[in-house]
Amino acid sequence: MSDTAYETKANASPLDDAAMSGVATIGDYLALLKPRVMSLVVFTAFVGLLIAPGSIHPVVAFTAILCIAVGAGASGALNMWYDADIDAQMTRTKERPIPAGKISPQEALTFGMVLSIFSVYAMAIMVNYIAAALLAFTIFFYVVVYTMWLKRSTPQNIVIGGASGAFPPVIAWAVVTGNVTIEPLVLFAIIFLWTPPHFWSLALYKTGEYQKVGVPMLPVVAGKKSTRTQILLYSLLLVPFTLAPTYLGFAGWLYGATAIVLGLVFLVLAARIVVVGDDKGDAKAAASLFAYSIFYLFALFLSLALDHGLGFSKGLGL
Amino acid sequence: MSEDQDVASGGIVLSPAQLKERKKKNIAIALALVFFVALIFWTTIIRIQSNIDMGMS
Repeated sequence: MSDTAYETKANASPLDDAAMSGVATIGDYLALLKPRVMSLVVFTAFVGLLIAPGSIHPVVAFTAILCIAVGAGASGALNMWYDADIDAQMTRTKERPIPAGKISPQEALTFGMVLSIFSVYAMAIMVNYIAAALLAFTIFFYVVVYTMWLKRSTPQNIVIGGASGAFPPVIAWAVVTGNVTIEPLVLFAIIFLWTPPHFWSLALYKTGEYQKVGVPMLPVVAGKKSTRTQILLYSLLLVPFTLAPTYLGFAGWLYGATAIVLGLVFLVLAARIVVVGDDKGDAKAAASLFAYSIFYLFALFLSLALDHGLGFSKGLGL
Repeated sequence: MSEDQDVASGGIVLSPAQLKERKKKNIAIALALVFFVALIFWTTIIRIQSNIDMGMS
């Protein structure tokens, strides 16, 4: 971990840790799990579970989703433990439980490790080993590869690190089928391509904060103009690619039509960022794309689930 | 350890609010563990039943 100015953590003694241990509420521990990120992870995993061929007992399906949710939460807790120094300096994150002094770093580390082990172990003994191995790899990738290595060392941090957020539908597919085929990899690629425009639009209007804490996000390193171009390029890759499920036959026209409409709006918002440039309203344009990108992924996966549930797709069934 | 013992040993003394919060957390952990055990039991039964069904067919 970087040894920059995180006073609370740097100067904390075991006694401080003990003193803090009585302060945290259950809500603080839940906040440590990044519930908003978790909701997107759970939803995409649920859709993966729904469209995968074959059937599993509802209790096993529930257990699998629970393990994925807990694993994602554990990753969030470990991320907050490692990033506590920079979280304390950014307005967006300074109220998180560790920088706010509600939970000590040691407690967050222990909490994250225990939940990681529990989620993987539970997945292995109650679901299957392939899903457990994928879940373990996802946690490792997010915590070690993204948080500890890439985040503070390269502007491509969220491009490569985005893979960790793209794994849940793959894990869910493995839960049902016991293996990984082309269909879950297509879902993986959709989330993977969605991640850069999503995060870079946030970074565009939070550039100053990332610069202050020394995180080399693309707008900090390459400038805002280059970031806007990259956002548009990734959006141009993403939108056509979202039609792959229909093209490959595991989604029908309902999903295809929804993907086209949602994608066109995505492209318009991405193009608007480029057109507005540094002019007045640039932060608003970036914030619009960021907010829409979250709705976009939810709506895209919801249409995939509905398409499957209403029988518009062919061949695959839960 | 009681509050008096904490003071006598020079340890940290938690306020009543902190003690109440700690109790809540202990109950939450206990419930989570009971739920975890119940889930393992339930999925084990499901697997055994599934294996029996496969053996019969």
